[in-house]
Amino acid sequence: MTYYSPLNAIDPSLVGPYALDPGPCDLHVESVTKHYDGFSLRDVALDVPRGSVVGLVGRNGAGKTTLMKVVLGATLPDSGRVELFGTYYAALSDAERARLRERVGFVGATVAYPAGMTVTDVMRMYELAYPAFDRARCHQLCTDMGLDAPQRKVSELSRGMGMKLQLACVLASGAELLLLDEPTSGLDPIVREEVLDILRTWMEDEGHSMLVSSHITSDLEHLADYLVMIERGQVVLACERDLISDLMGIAQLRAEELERVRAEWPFGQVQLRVIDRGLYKSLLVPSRTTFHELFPAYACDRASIDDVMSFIVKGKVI
Amino acid sequence: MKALLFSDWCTLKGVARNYPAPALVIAAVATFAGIQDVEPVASAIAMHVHSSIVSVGLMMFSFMGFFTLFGNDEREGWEAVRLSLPVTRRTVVHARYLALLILFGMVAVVVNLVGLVMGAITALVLNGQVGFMPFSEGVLLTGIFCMVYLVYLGLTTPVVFKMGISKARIYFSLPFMLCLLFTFEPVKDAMQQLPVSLGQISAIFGSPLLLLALGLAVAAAIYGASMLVSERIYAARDF
Amino acid sequence: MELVVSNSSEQPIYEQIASQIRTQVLGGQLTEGDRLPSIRALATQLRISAITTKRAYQELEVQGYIHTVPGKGCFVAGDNLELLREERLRMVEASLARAVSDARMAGITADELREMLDLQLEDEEQ
Repeated sequence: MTYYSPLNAIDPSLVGPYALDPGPCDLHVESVTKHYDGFSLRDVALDVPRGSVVGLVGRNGAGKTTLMKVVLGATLPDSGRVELFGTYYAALSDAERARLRERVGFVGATVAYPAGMTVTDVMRMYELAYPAFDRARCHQLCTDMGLDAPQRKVSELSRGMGMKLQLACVLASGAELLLLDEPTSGLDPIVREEVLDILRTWMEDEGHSMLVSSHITSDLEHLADYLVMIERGQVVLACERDLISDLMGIAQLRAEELERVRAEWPFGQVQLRVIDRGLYKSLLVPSRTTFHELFPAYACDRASIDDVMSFIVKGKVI
Repeated sequence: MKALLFSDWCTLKGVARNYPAPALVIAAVATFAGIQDVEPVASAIAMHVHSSIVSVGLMMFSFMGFFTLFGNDEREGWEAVRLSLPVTRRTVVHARYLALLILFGMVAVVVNLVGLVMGAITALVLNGQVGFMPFSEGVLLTGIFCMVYLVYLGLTTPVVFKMGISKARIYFSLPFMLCLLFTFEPVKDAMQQLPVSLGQISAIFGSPLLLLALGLAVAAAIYGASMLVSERIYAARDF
Repeated sequence: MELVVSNSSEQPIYEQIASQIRTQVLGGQLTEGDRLPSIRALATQLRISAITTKRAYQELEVQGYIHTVPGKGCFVAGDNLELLREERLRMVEASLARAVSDARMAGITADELREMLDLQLEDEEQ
């Protein structure tokens, strides 16, 4: 898949700088479909290019966790393809699969290790599981993050400490692709920033890549290179993160102003989405530049990831 | 594999401290309950104590270990996180089957040692002489429990891999209920009618130990087959 | 090198970075051969996406302000006087054009505007 402008072809002249070639992908998800009672993932596609961070956003229950589980191999899709490092995962033998997964690390939303384990035990387990595990690096990361109680049981760790332990183990495991499921939810702002800093520093190695699922969009604004938005089991948006803040906007308009915009908007294939706020209508502007040129009198603010999510979920297409 | 065995080891370590006390209490009760019927001979006393401790110990520790390990899998989503490690589902199954074997082995060694010591001491106290259970009886006792263990787990483990232990609990009592059947008079009568008895069968084999060896081989085969079944079950599971 | 990026500015962030570096090169704070932070290090420091910094650096490279040495990093390009001069000319022209249009909107006459320019130049000399 290619990462394209949201809502299709915003303004061809503007998209140029935003169509950098992503390069080889560490993770490639294609047409994945999975049916459950009352919920399905449908035709989901996603790419994590090497060296980049892909943020997966969506409401609770939209399918982020299910998608993560499919990528991890914990859930088997009804159809579709998952490729890790360019290799079709399901076609490999067991042993080859395990070897491939030595390059993948997972950090979950909760600290799920067996209750009897101490911090040292968890590190030892990762060391036994990952051949490339770097013990010195793990200790260094623990010290850096303030995790200094080696005999503490994991069940007694605070949520922030538990997350840091997972991170220390996974970052020292030699993995190149990280899958993170809600790594910052439930953390206080200070710890959240520490975790993000650690992730950013880890990303400075060009061979590393990350898929982060989160509903804390402000974290993704400062971390993600690409955004994929999932709503009701389908991908509704997939674009470079910058596209949203650089190009998109929110305009508050009166009914007749909105009508004028709709009539005069030059790009026919672009969807214009509106949320009726009662006293005014709120419009998701695909391109602020074009909007300013055509309607200089109407004010237009920058759009945030949250805004775009709201418009995609609750907005009406006009 | 090593990582999984290690994590199972940590899980068991975490709960091991809960078991010695009640196990000893029950063993003590079992010991003193039947002691008056035992011949006042050192070896008989020692055998009574030793076998009580081995029976109770093997039952408690090894079966509790099974429940602890599978119960822990379902806590906090450990099962799903475990699959994120570079291990295949087959390895998860193999590691668990191996862990359950190692558990039994370790428990068997420990309870036999404890039984040996406690038996000797009790014989000394009650009879003035140190006594020991005959070696072959000891092997027989442990061996029979091993057979039961292998067959019982062989039958129930695939069910647990299929649906998790909370949902599978209901199936566990079935083998025990089967054993209860043997206490019913009609069943006991039918057993009397059988043309052969256990004693006769073991006579054919020359010694009960040989019969035990055969039984263990069959039980091991059941255990191995169970592992293959579990592999297939686990491979298709969603989390 | 100092860089400030703002989320509330109308300019895309990559453009903010590129123009600040351009200004520093033109103004002499960054000289030929100065090493710039790597794309990713900059992204970490500014807490933004690496694609943004990559975009900024690409634009600067295309315009001739920096060049990348594979394996070593990004460096400020050699002095290209013609380029700098043209750039400065362009900037001044743009400022003048803006001043003229602002003056027109405020109703200031051409003569008043010239007076203002002379005053400004006098101030500069002093």
